[in-house]
Amino acid sequence: MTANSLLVQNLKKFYPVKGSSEKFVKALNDVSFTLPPNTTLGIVGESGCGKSTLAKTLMGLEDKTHGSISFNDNSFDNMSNKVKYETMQMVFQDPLDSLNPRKKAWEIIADPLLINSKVSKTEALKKAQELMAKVGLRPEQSHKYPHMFSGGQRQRLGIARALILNPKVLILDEPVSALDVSVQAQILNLLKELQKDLGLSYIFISHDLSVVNYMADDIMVMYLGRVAEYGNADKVFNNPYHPYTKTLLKSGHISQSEEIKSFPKLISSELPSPLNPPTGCAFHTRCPLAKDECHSILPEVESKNERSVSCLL
Amino acid sequence: MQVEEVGFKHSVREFWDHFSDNKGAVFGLFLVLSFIVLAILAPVISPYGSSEIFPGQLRLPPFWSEGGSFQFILGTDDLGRDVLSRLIWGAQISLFVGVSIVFLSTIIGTTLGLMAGYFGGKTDIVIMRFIDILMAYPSILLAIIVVSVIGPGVTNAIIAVAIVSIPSFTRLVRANVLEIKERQFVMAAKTFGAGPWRIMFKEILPNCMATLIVQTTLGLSEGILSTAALGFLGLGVQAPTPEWGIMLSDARPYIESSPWLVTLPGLCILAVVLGLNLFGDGLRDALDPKLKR
Repeated sequence: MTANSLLVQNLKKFYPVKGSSEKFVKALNDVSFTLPPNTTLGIVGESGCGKSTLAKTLMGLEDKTHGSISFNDNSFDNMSNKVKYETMQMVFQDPLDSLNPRKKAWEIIADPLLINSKVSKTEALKKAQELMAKVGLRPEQSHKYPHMFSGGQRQRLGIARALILNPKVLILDEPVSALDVSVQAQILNLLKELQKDLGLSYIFISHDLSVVNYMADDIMVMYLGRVAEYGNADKVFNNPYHPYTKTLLKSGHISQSEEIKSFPKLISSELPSPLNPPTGCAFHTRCPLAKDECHSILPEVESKNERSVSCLL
Repeated sequence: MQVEEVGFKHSVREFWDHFSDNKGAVFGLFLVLSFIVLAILAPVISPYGSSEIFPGQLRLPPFWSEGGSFQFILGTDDLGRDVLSRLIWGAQISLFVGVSIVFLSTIIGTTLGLMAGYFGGKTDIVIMRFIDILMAYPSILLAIIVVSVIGPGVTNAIIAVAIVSIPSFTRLVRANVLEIKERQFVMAAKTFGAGPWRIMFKEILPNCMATLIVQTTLGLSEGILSTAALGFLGLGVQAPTPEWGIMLSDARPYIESSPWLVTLPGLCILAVVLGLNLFGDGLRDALDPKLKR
């Protein structure tokens, strides 16, 4: 494989259903992707589709049920925790909630360093201040508490914390959805600059298609824990194959194509319960194009013009 | 560093603004502070030693009553000891005992609460059932049981009352932890490898401090009251230590002939406990962001 790529193969995460040993909620089912260095993979889908579970499973907050995660051909299973943390870090959605209100800015940023390596507090403070400058904060503010910063500044703190271990991959879990639109653009541009400077790979989770369109090189559309469509972002946006992708694009009002604008409405707006996923293609209960065979046959993820699509049509 | 000091000064002033709105709380703080000053200055301001006996000057009334004098401002007790001196030294004992109780029960109770709340599952069940057992007995009864097992005395009274005070801390901290551990900064700490103890003490505990401080002041008053009760029953601090509870119980036979002997230590207990409760309530209101305008 390509050097310094993150490779995820057939990742599954099943949660057992209480009171039953055979029933599972399949939060992630056969998710595979490759993330080369210096690229951004956008992950979209509505709430409950498994975006956050994917982030947690990749970070090791949840144990995976099956599948493999490897970086630079080293499996995560054989990596020490320290190396894992130095490979992948995460930026959270709500900048206020993800920063401990009782800690000073520099303590928040330096925490990963203080836990994972033997540095003195002075060195950690210095490193934290360097990073504050890098993410566009004034190092003099290093002794302030999170509530004294604005929303955008807080997210910069979160990004600085994720960068202090020099990771190669950042998981960005809805990093701008809690911010004002004007601030969103600043943070997105900061992320782009950092990517260029440090050669980072991003896994960018969002429900905002225009943001993903702006950031992502590749895009993965998820539906009920499965990959609906995965491929080059421009191609997916300009010529979506999967009916679910088309629906998302239509509701996002970002596509100019007539085909998308005139795409028929969903049959039902409600996401089926992951406890009782529909038989066959999970999307058939809502898909306006569903045929009889969709009710019974589960579509495999197939490659089609350098793109993975799971649809029978 | 300057930024931090400004921030700190600012939050102290903000806190004081809220706190001083509550006149009762300020009065409580004043009461508590005066007893602390009394206790610290006891060797300087008390006119006599706590066990100094003046033969032939038994049960003299306070100066304002007939037969009283300024030699013994608050009179003497049945053994001819100066009541004022004993009350002042008693403040030292009571505050020392109260602080020790709160210190012990806070450390143990908080640690148990953190573990129960954070680990959950079996740890939670074991700890909370133990707490339930402690709570099933009326606290003073349980303290009596503990003292009768390990024997009376200052240290043992402290241990007994501390054990009895553990549940309130554990339950309070556990409830706080259950809420805080779901927040994203706890999850964030896990993504870079913070262990459970680090998360409990460095991430979660600092966020419980506001409620914990309030509980500490209230626990202090309960501790003082329970110790006085144990002393009154003869199970706590032993004579001739000038503890307010024992002074009360020693004076019981003279309740009709020399009423000041029971009244004065009773008033002291009342003042300290009232002061601490008012102060604690005020603290709670001032530290609770929901009550802030």
